Amino acid sequence: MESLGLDLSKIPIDFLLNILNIVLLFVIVRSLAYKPIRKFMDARTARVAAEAAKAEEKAAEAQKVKAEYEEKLQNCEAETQAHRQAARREAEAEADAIRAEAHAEAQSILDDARARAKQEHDETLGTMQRDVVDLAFGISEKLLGHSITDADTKKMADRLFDESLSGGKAS
Amino acid sequence: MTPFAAALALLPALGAGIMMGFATSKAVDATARQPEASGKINSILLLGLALAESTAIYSFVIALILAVK
Amino acid sequence: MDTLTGIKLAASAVVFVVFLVLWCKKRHDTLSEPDPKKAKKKRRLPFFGMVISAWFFVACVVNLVTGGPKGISLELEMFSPRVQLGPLSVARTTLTAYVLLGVIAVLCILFRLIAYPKFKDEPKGLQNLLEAAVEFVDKFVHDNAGDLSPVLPAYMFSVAVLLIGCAASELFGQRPPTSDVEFTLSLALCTFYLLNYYGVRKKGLFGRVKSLASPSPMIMPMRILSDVAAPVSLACRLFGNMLGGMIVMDLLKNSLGGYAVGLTSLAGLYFNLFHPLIQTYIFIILSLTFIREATE
Repeated sequence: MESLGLDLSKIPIDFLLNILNIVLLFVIVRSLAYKPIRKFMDARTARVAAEAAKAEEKAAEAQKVKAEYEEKLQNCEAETQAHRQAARREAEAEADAIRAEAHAEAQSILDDARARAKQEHDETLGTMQRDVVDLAFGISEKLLGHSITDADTKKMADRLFDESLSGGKAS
Repeated sequence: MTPFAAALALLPALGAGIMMGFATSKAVDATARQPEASGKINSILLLGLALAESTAIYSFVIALILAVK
Repeated sequence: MDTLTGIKLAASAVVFVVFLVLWCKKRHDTLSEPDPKKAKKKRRLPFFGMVISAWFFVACVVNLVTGGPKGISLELEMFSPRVQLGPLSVARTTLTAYVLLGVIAVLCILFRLIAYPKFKDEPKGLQNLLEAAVEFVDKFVHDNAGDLSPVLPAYMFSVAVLLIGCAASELFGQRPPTSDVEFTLSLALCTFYLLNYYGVRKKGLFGRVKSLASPSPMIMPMRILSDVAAPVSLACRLFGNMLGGMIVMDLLKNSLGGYAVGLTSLAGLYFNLFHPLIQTYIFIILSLTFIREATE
């Protein structure tokens, strides 16, 4: 050194040493502490972001599945509704048919009964007519004291009946 | 004479101290008016205080240089 | 050992024993107290008496060993003493800084080998602290100087580590490197280099020169002067603050002598912890502001 004519103690060696110190410290701290921590934090941030994206994706998928389910459910309901409607219609038709049949039967029974009643009525009326005629004959014979001829009888009975019927109707 | 000169060189510290107090009082005012901006006010205040303090520090260094050697 | 010292020692020892007995009695009395806070409150007075008398006793012993307070006097040197290393004459603070570098390097290697592989997704303890620090520095640099390069936050982080380490070196009885103007000027020169580097990279050499002569070419010498003043002001600020803190602490220690046991640590909370942290913050924020000014 002395051969170069350089006196090292005259150079502000402290500045150089200090700057070297600072640069060395910077390199050490950066490579051993700062960068790893930064990398770790960045990796964690990226991982969290990826996981959040994945979760979002899954949520979207779930949403989709849910929509599908809902649609299916809707379809099912509609189908059920249709089924029910059809069943009800069928049942109603059947009920209508049964009701109509019953109605018809009832009508026929009623008609039957009415016809029979009428017949009975007519029969009874005939019998009663005959009885009444006989009775009238008896009475009039008793009153007249003789038997009545058939011709007379017929005429009288007819007149009586006509009168009684018309009188009964008038009253 | 040198100690006297050193003491005289410390006079700027007076102005720096008073003005730092002023700056702080203004900062307190601003923080009271806008508490949500306190972070920003704080950093500006510290910057200003550092710059104002440099006057006092220069005077201190000069006084030291005078007094020590 | 004169009689006064003997009396002091004996008196403090006796007082200590008395308070110890009192404390033990109170402790025995309050053993059945259901509320532990209340029991502690009752023991407070004898406890403080014990601490103070013990402090006084230790202070007397230290005074006896070291020869008592030196009075308000201070042998101060602006520049740290020099050490001859072969052909080089090196300041002691430079050597302290290199020791600091070695300690930080060892800590970094230990961290990389032991603590880093144990990092988990949920931060806890040391990891939480380091992550918060890195995050804070990143955000701080980004807010104050923009996105210049990923190297800048790392540099500021290492500067913060260095300055805090310097403050810690004072706790080990060394003159902190930051109280040496050469060290702070080296730091400021690094900032000066960075601001010129980023200024030239962002605007080109011609743009940088043009921005120096921005209102008119007449003002250019003033602009250059103010640019050169930036590192000087940075260096002087850090140096003055740290030296001031060191002087106050030394004065306290010298004037109190043995009585400084325990008291200096209270003052050190401000002068060795809070003050260097604030100065680190200011150094970094000013560096970033200068760099932003150069790149805008």
